[in-house]
Amino acid sequence: MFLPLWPIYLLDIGGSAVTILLSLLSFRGAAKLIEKDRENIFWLYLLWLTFSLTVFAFSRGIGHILQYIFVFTGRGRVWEVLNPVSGSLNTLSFVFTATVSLFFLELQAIYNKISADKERMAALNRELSSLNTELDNIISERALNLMALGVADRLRNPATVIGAIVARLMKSPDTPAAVKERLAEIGQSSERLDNIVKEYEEILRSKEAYFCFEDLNGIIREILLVTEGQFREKGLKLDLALSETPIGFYAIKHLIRIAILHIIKNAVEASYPGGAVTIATRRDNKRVFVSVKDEGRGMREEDIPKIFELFYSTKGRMGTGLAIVKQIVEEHGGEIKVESAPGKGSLFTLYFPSGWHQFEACIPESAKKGLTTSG
Amino acid sequence: MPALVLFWPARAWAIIPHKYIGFYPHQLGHLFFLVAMAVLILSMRRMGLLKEKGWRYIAWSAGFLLFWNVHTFLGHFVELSVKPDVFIDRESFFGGLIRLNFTTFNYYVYRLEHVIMISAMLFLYLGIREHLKGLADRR
Repeated sequence: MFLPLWPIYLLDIGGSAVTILLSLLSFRGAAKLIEKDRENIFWLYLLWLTFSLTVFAFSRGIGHILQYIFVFTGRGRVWEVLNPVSGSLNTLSFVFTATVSLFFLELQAIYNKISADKERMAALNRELSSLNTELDNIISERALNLMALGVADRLRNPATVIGAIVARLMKSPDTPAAVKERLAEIGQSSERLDNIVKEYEEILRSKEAYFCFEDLNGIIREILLVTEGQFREKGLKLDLALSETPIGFYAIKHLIRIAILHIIKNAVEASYPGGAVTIATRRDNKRVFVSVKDEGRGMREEDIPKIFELFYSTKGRMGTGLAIVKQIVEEHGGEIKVESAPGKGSLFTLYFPSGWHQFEACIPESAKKGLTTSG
Repeated sequence: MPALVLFWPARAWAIIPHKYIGFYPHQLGHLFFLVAMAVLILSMRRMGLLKEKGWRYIAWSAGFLLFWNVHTFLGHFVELSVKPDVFIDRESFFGGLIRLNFTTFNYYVYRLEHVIMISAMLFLYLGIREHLKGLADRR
């Protein structure tokens, strides 16, 4: 029994031509993909893959077609010479395509890294956004509280003076009885006003917050995660000199985070591009402290006390940040020291008590119930 | 040892035992291609790309290429065992015939390999077209 050879020949020639055509169409498609989205690493891979397959389709297809041309035109000997060359090219094109395909493994590593970076960025963005909201809320709330306390303080004096004058007039024998009745009403109103002011102050000061045992180094590392972009943007070098062991202290974490974040952001803003910011933490017997040093423009000595005043700013906008920082540090029983000179940068050091007993007075009774250890 | 290799050479066995020059490298090339396609499919699967139609088509293309490599790898061995006397009037396009037996049947099937290759290239093209469509839809 015999089978005709022409279906094989036909399929070989036609198949080679169709393979070449499809490879060219695929290569053109991949080129269009990369044209539309140049940053997509997968399209770049497809471009290389289709290129290698086009080389393969050509080397193989042309070889097969040439074979038939030479054999069927009676020049079989020419093909015998060309055959090894065609075969070698064919093998090379296999290896090329296979090598390009294996690059996909590398692509996977890149893809995984990009995915991890994306997730990290998303987490950082969430953290940053929540921190910013927290910062805005706290700053506005505290600025309002400070203003309200100021108003209350100013109201109390006139109320006390009015009360004292009324009391004196009430005691005077020269005051007519009818006037005394009116004066009594004024006195009661003045007393009510004084009580309102006292109650208001009490409400503001009795706001409860919970102190927990925190690691200062950990808080700083968290802050640096959200500020690293700012360092990078300005080309700043970060010298981190955190103590080797964790530095525990009692704190309201989100407030401390806001205070230190503000100091670091100020250092970044004040620095010149390419400068350095040094952040260090230490502890001694009684205190833990964090210092933030920049090589920026610095301040005049007479300006240093003013920077902690509400609405004072060297940046030409409403300056509430450092006033709030000072308030937060003081609420933690700590203090803030600044050393600065024009052109030489600034050094901000925030000190906090390392032991619970040292700032017990600052903490509301209900908050103390949750604490069992002392630093 | 290096001195022995340099100054006392034995037969290197760098011979080409068949009618095709570079038969073994060619077959090794097929194996390499085959493994690369398998790795490509597994990588695409591990990366979760197969949820997308475009990548699914490309995985099918890689699958057909893998199959094509197995087919031609075995086919080359079959080709070697086919004796020239099974062909009649081989150099005539429409007149050529092949005598049918177990080996020549396998040879005949092997020579239809372009069906697999065209399928692979068609799926590659469809995959890329699908990606282009997806990109246009997103815009």
